Amino acid sequence: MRILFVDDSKAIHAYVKSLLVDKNIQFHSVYNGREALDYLRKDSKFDLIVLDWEMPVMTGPETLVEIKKQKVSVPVVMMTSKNEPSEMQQMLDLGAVEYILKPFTPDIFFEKIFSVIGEAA
Amino acid sequence: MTAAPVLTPMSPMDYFSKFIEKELGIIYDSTNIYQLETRINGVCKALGVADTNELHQKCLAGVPSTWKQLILDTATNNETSFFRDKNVFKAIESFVLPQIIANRKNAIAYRLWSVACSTGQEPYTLSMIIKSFQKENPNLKFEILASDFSQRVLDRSKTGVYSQLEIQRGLPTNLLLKYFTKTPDSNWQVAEELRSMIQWQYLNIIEPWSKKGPFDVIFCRNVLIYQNVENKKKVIKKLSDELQPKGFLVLGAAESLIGLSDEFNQVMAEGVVVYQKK
Repeated sequence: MRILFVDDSKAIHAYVKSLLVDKNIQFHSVYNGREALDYLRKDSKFDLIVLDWEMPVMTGPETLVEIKKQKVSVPVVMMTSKNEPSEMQQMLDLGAVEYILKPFTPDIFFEKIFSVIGEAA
Repeated sequence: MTAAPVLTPMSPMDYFSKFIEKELGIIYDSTNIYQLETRINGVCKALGVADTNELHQKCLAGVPSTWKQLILDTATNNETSFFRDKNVFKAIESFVLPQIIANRKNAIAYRLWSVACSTGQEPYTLSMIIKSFQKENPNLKFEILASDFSQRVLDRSKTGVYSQLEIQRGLPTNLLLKYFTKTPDSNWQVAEELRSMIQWQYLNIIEPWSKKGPFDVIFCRNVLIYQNVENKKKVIKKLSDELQPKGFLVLGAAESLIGLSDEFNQVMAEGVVVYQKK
């Protein structure tokens, strides 16, 4: 199981990576949308993309639009503190399949990602 | 490491564990008495009582009703979430609801009962499933009764207000956006169209109750595991008497009717066991 994790916060990367220790999940880190798209051009064999909203260079919504334009079929889960219903609906309309609100707990993180990709082997 | 408290005659934990067993049928023994001690310490703080010894002494003189409610409220962990054990709700939508409709065609209303509803996530989950079911079956009417022995959690459930962490547990985002509104203090409230489907009622399942049924489906999940065998049998008999013929009883994933009742057939749906009244 491979996850591409897109967030500008190194602390969040470290935290999520720590949650995935001993799980059968490979974790690939990038820090903005442009890096994510560059990575996906070379390697799009991911089971899931987890995508932050507010990032420098290229935001989450901009990145999601490009992912869909380029017909990358990997499911996208938003992970952000933006919790207005209109914002959340906007991301679902753009093609995100689920939404994790920050702050979250480990049980919420795993429940949301496994609801999309199934239990890790 | 602190040693687990030992149950000795007339010790505070002995007193409170027997009190809770008498009132609720919930058993605390040497394997989980430490949980009770933590909870009773919380009650002491809430009441401004120095410690469990003092609370014990005051209760021996007679337990005021407000104290009784507080002590009993602490006895359970109220742990629940939306769509807890997802496959159960898949079974409800794909198998149980069509069955109860086939059992009683042209019924005025189909009735469901969430026996120990805690903070309300189970009955609200049922209301969402029913709304989805009604899209294809708009003429069918459903009623939900939700009960609990804690007035505190019932009052909370009626408001339909949940924190941001609570609404992320078990609830798909599309349903959150469809059936909840965000409150000014960043909580989320269940829509009135779902709240109006549910009647809330105080009920302690080990005390006598007046007949509420008949019901087409009764949910009694993760409640009976805390009871002794005698109480389990009594409660299951009472619930069976509340069911329509061929109605369904839904228990928790780790629970079973084996050895407790011969009034039901075991049925598998979506990988889940449900019990159909013979």
